[in-house]
Amino acid sequence: LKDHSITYFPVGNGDTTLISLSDGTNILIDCNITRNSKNGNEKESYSVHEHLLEEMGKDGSSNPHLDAFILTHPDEDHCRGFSATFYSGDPSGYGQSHRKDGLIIIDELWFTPRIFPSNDDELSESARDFRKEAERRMKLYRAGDPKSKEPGNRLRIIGYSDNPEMKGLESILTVPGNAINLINGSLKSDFSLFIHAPFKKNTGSEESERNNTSVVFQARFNMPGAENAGLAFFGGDADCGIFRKIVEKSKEEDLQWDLFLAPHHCSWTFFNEQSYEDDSMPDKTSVELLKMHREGAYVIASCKPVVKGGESPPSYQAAKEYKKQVGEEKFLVTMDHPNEKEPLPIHFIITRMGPQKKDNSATNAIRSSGAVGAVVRTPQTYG
Amino acid sequence: MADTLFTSGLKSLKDKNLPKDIRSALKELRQGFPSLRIEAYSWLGFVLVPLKVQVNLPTRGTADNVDIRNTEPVFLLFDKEQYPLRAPLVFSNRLSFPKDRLPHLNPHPKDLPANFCLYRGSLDAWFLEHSLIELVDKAKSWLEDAAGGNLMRDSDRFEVTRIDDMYGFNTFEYSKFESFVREFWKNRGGCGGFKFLRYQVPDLDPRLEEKGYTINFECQVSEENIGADTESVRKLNLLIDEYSVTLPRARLLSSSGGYRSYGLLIWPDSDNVSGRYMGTLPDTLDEFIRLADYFGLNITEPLNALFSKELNLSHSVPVTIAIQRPRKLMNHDSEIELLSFLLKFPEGKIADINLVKKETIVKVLGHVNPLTVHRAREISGSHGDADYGRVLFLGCGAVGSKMILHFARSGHVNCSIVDTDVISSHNLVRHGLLRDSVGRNKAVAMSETIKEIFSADSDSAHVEPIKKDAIDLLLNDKTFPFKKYQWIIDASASPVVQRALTVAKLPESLHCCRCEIAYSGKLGFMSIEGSGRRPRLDDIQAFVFDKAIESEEILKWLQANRDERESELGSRLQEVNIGLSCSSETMKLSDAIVSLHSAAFTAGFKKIAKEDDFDEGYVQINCYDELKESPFRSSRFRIPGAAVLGDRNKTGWEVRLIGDTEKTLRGLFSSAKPNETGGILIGFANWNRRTVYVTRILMPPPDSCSSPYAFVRGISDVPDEVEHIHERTGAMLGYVGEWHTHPGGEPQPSPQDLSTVEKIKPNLDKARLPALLLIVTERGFYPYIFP
Repeated sequence: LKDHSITYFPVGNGDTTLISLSDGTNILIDCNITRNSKNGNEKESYSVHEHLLEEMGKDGSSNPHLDAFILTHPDEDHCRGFSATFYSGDPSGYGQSHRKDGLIIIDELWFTPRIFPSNDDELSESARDFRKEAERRMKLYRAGDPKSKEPGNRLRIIGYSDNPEMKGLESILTVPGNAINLINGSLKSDFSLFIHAPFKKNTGSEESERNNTSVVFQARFNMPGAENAGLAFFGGDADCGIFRKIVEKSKEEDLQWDLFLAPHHCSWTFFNEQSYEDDSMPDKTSVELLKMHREGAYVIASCKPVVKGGESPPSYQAAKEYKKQVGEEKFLVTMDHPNEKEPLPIHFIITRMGPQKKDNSATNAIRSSGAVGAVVRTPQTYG
Repeated sequence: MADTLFTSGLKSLKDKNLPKDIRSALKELRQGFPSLRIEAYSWLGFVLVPLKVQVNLPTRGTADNVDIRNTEPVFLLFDKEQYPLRAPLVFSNRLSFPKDRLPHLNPHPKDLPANFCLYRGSLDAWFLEHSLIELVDKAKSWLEDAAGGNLMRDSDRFEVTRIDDMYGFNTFEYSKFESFVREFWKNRGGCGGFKFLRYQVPDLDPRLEEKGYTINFECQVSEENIGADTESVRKLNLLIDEYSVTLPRARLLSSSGGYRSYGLLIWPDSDNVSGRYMGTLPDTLDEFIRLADYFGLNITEPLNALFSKELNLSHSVPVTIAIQRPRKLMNHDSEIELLSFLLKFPEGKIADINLVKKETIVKVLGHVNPLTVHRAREISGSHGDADYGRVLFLGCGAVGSKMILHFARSGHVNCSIVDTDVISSHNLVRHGLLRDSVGRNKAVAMSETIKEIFSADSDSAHVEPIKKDAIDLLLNDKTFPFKKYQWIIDASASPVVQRALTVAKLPESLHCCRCEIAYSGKLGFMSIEGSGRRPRLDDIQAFVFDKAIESEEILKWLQANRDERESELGSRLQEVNIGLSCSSETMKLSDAIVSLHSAAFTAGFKKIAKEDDFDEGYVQINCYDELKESPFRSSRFRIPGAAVLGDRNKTGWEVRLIGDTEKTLRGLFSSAKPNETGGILIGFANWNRRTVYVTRILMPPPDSCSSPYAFVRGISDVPDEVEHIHERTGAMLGYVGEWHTHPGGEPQPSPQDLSTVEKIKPNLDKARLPALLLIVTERGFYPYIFP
């Protein structure tokens, strides 16, 4: 058995986080993968795709597969590179060319449907790619097609059953306010996700902004003899208002954390609905949630290095607030880890005594072989 | 908390006084860790380089609260002479490092802090491919694993004490010692206790500067029996001393199991469980007593008892202690860890061991399980082998001895060995036995050698020598219990033995196998008969001759054999002598080649014996040609049971249809029906055995004419074809008769058939061939022989 682990990838202002379980199950939360993405203008600083290919398991036909992909919300910086990294379509159509491109089959897709606007034009191309794949799978479920139960077609929807659009999808619906340990058809005894949001009101209301309707959850890792050995909080781009509701509604145990991914790339929105200039006081429920951290906890800001007076996000003021809670050393910035010049993934394993940061050679090995892979997979031109 | 560092107070070394390789190591470290001050220190001729390693701890502290810190001081220990071939060892530099709480530490001198075990295999080998920075990185990982409670991945198992510098071995069956302890606990309400043990000790008083001292557990000695036991042991020891004047001491010691001596097994109360690791092991009695105390063991009392009962036959006393661990051990299915020590007491009478605590030297003994048959099977991966039952080996020459040893070493020791021959010194060139067997009967010497291998398990090794002539045994020994055996393996290389085997009346349940080397070692054949002796060894031999038509190796052999026959004897012999008698001094063949074939035979035998029910026979053909790119090849062929047909003319001859010939004839019969068809039979006739072996059926020649009541065998291509076969097989095979079909079903030859025989017989007589007419009908085959 492997260690349970979490890896936060350096992907600029965007999120890409991999949860790997001891039984080899891999769950990716959002992606902002630049290389080869259709409209990727940003320079890639780390070969996430190559790293993922190294880590992914192989299915029965030796094709790379990911057990579950969770999209918190369809902003570009959370699904960039989706179609260049993952395979879309009927899994039986996966062929040589897909394998050559290193496309990863997503066994089970997780998302919340109402956060997509009715008009496609409001979506980025990556988000449209994602929606197309999600709709393909929904169609299979609605038609009662037995293929819908196969990896590559599976779907999990975070939402509410009184939504008429969810008709026929009840069996794959997870209602926020509950924990789920069924991942890719397998019930986990040592891992679960407690889903906090989206709330009914947000998803239903026309005027709700997508950021406000992010999926928010707490990932719970168990170890032999240590229930909840590691707790990791993911909030997508949810803002202060959402978190206020979460804190109001939730029990303390559902709010605790060892690892906290700073929402919206360390933006001030987590602390206050007003801009910092308009209101520099952090909301007390946000601070309350931060205070739910357990001993030795880390905040991870998935963003560019935090600079005073620099472009926000990341917000220098937000970073300051986080550091107040966990201390300077426990506030990590993905694009500044271990240094700005060559950022590397932030990797934690889960021990009985909580997450333990690992920056040993194992990560480097993946990095170098990933790098070689990247060179080999790319046409190289010489003059 | 400020901590005392091991390296503080050591003399620092100037770079320029260091060997070149270590200077460049320092440079590498300074580049890799620019923020650290990297200096070298001298310690007992080694170079020590302290460093600080940053360790990521789990968020809520270390597992089990073990004292691992964010910044851990370590040092690298360089061997000045051997670096970089010897990897530097990485030690904690902290004297307070919690070494008794952590597994995966290398054994090391006790005044040093913990030495991390960074690699499961040879660290030196690992370091050949890695840098110093990676080594330090490994130490960091080790410390992080220690902090996260992840040093033991197999968390259900307890890592046993690692012994590096062992002085020798204590050979005993782990489960036996464990059962002594558990039984005592059961009967005495979990009390601690001890037991006197008797050992075989080839060297009563070891010289402590030497290593490799080994003792073998013999039995436990009960209180009431101590007097009688010591008396007989003293006598035996005296005898060994007396005879060693006249006999070579080594041989005497090994044949008698060595001197006898006594030792102790000591265990704590059953509720005494300890998860403490031993950073260092004791080397004085004082330390040993303290260590034992820690684990709840009283060793003073048992030792004093041993002395008071005068069981201290030598100054060295082996003591095994039992420690109960919280979980099952990594390498044993038990929670009880057994550690053996050798206590070397000072000369003179000892009334109380407390008085010699300082002078007594303690050495650590490793544990080895005695070699049992079961273990031999386990180690050689032979557990899946078929149970061959009892095997009768005919011949214990070069091939036989090697095969018998291959069998024995993989735990197949249920056999009898038949040989009358004595080992002479030239045999040592190719025989499995060695110098100390010269002058002894091969079967006897081999049996004893095998029993010696399994001396710890003498009940399981059933090897019996039979100093009898194999031919006599097969043909004349009416009382020999062949029924006891499931296999005969003939490795005699004697055609006469083969003949005897062929004609011997053997029980149905007995399978025959024959292994032989031919053609100066270029070929090896292993023939295995099918059940009911179909095919028989001679059938398989005929099959092999036929193989020459396609196989270049066999062709060359048979041609060489023919050349030899024709040159030396000037006349054609029917027999070809397959086997090479390796006992001959003039035989030129290296031991390596004999071993190659013998090993291939044994491996092939195992495979076939495991999988087959012997509906058919087998031949395995080994080919060796040193000039080829793939010099060795071993191929296996299935051979269907031969159809055995008695001569309808009642001449006492028989016809044996080998291989596919029976099937071929049936096929040709069916496809020609309603017409007759026929052709020529290929094979050879043996006048001695009055047997015609048919190995191949030639198709009806194209110019043949056939109708429902007549068949004229044509001639086109026939002479060429027969000549080709004759040449390819070194004149072993050729025309041996004619066949034709009677679709109407009459088994008798027609008048026309008989008149044909009359015509061809004079020519066949000249060729010393009996005329054979084989009539094939729907119901069967009817041979008519006219000798």
